[in-house]
Amino acid sequence: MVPVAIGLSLLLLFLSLPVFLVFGIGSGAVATQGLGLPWSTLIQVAFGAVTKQILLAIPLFVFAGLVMLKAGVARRLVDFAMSLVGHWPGGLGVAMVLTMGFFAAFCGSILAAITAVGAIMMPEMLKKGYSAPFTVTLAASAGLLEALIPPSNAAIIYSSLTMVPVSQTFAAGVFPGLALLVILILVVIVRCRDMPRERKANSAERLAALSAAAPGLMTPVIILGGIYSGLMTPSETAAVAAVWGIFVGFAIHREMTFKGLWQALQATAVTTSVIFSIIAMATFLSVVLTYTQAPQHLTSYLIGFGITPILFLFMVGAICLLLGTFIEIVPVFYLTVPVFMAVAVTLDIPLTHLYIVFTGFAGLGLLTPPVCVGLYTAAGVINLSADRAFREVPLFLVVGIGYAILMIFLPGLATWLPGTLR
Amino acid sequence: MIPITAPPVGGAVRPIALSIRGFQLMRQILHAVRAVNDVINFMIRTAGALLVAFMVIIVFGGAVTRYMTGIGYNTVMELPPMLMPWLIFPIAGILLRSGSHIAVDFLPERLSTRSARVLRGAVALIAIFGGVVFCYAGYEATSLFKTVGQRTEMEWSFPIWWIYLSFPVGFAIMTSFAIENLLVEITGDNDRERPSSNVGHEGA
Repeated sequence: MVPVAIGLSLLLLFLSLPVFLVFGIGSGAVATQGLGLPWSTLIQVAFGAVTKQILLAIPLFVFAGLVMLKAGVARRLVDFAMSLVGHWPGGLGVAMVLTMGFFAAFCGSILAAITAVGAIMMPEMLKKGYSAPFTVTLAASAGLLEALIPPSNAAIIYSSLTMVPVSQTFAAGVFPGLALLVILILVVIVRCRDMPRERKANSAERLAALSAAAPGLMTPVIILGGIYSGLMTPSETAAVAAVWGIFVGFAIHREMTFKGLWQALQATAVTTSVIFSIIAMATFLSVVLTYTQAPQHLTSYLIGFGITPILFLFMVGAICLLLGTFIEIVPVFYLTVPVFMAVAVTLDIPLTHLYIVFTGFAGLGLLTPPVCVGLYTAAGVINLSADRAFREVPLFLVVGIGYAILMIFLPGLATWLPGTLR
Repeated sequence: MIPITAPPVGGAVRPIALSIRGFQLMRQILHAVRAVNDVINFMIRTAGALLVAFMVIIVFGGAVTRYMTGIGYNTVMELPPMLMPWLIFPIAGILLRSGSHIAVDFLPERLSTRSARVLRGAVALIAIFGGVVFCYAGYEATSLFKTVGQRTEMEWSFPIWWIYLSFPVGFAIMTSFAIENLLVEITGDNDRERPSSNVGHEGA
């Protein structure tokens, strides 16, 4: 039954049907016609999945990110990053990566970050002579920081699938996220060492930039402080961050308008629906997997085959890389996590480590055609054809794969902080 | 200009003689469906934005109240997740028009204009089929929960079918928008500027 469900789903996927319908029709047909399950059971499971308390944090973090965008926080973060690293080789590129890192610390949405930061930095980089394909691919690659640095929607979804507390999954992403940040900065420095440098900001300028960016920089403190002090749940910190963003936008930066706030609310509703419709219908596949005991069969097969943890993680990475080429992280998680989690537990692989491997490889789908949403979004910001940006993709893809492999061999990066904060 | 051929959905392209009268009738149906869908689109987007605002306010209010008074209200934590289905399914339907859903557009980009139009028609037909099936299944499930009389296990208890109703309603809306998409592909009448969703599709 599982091959039929997967085969039918792949066919519908290839025909360009929306992914949530692919899951719904493909797995729903197999569950009801092949396994004889009633629709009411499937719908009940789907509702159980989307009404999980933990997932409420996703729309709230998306809203917080969009509010920050409308509040004019991004511009100030860029100015602050420029005052710190603008004079470095490839200073503008380094500043873009750094700003993405700042933005990642309060926004769970990859594409919102690429749009917000990219819209400010990319035209500036082009003006200063950086090549358009490099600029676009760098922005798309830096988008992966959003999936790693907390709060991240990917972490919340992974937690809902594995029952690992969100605070643990968030903590697991911190050092791998910082490692990716450093790697991307090194790539920019090496690649752009011959570019003309910006003037070095003096202390007064840095202080002024820090002061202007302070309200935005406070947001991660509110979010992570709220969660790890035990004062608030992730959903509550997201709501508080959103209200803080509204306050910053109206009272401090004075750039927020009621129209902008309404647009942020509507955009959040749309984004939530896009993500959660996939989550709802992907549970149909989970039901098929549960009833056919596919994860157990796979575990027995792989253990019988004598697979080692490293080999297993490489296998997971290859599958995530392949799937990430065609679909985004959310459906990749729903396709793979329920299947591979059982094997990882049997092999004593920490689930926080598995999360980083999943995200590291599946996140490369932001760059890999044909579905490279990160690349398309970044290219769209400066009205460049994504096809033109493809020539820089191999460099970042090699770096990305190297990074993901590094994460396989350095489990401590993912497991140390969650262990310490437990 | 009135096209005199239309692609048969799901098969090879071959001319189909559409009488001018039949074609005009189809366009009239399309305009009527569009008018209805425009109203649905406005209502659902407005309701969705208000739901998000309500969720933010209630979760924020709950956190502040607990921090200030030390008293936590279960409803504050339990209600917003229960509202999620009403945010998800109705909007999922209207997003078919703006193409904001995540899909693999590998094939359409490699097809000729005419073939891509046939494919879009086929996708709309499958979406109609899926919409009808899910709408019916959702209706049956909702009826079952209504008959059983199951209620939510929350501090503020209410009939659970109120939540399940979002499923058939959402897929009924989706079917209406899929019909619009199909008629657009058949008539070629897609020159009207469609309302934008303001955002593209959004991943994790």
